[in-house]
Amino acid sequence: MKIPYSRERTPPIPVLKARIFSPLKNEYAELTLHVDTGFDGGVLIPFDLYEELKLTLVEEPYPARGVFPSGLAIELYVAVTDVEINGLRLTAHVYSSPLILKKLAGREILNKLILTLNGPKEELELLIP
Amino acid sequence: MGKTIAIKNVDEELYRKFKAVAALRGITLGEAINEAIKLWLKASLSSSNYFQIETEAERNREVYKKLEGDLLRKHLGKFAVIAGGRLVGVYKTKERALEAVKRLNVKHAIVSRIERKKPTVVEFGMSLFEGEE
Repeated sequence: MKIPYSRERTPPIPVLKARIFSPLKNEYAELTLHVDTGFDGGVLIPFDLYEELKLTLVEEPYPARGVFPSGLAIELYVAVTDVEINGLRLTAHVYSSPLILKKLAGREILNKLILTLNGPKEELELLIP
Repeated sequence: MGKTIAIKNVDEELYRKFKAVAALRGITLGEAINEAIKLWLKASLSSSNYFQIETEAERNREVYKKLEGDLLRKHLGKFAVIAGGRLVGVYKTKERALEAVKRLNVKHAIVSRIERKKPTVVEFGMSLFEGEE
């Protein structure tokens, strides 16, 4: 499967389409996640979406500490839920905070996939292992 | 006891007025700062249930910490549900734990497999700093 880079950023950024499932509702949110190999976690989403998916009702007992490259740290809400990428269903940690506005896919997810970044073609190729 | 912090680049004139108003009201600078932060957060997050969620989350996390040892000894591998500041129950499967949560009227709950856990640290990449959404 080939996914064109998003042009909402300059230079264009590789993205993945993912479904984040709500463990309590028979629903999911379909999202475009920025591919971020510098992010340790599974998925990072804005807090309103985290709430909407009812992830505040299936939280892990300890909040996570999210550390920015500057060394600044914030507390993160964290829940475990199913994430589906191109038909592959994974269980992953989803993180959020009211201070987070972006949607990222981090290495907890990326390391389970085979991704080729074709920069000149501005295209991400996804192979399910 | 509150946290001691040092803040750089505070506008001098704003700070002078802030200090004066705190003195007029007879409250300490710390109290005035706490009030200001609360108001700012409230204004910034007014569309969310964030404060209610955070209050419940703090209570639930405290309860988990208190019960963790007992849960590990007696129910290793099962699923605990903590909500409303109490242990709602321990369940054999995650599905049953989720069913229990669905029956509750709360904003926050912990649903966790009972195993040794510790707070995690995750590093963010640079992309949080780049561009605007």
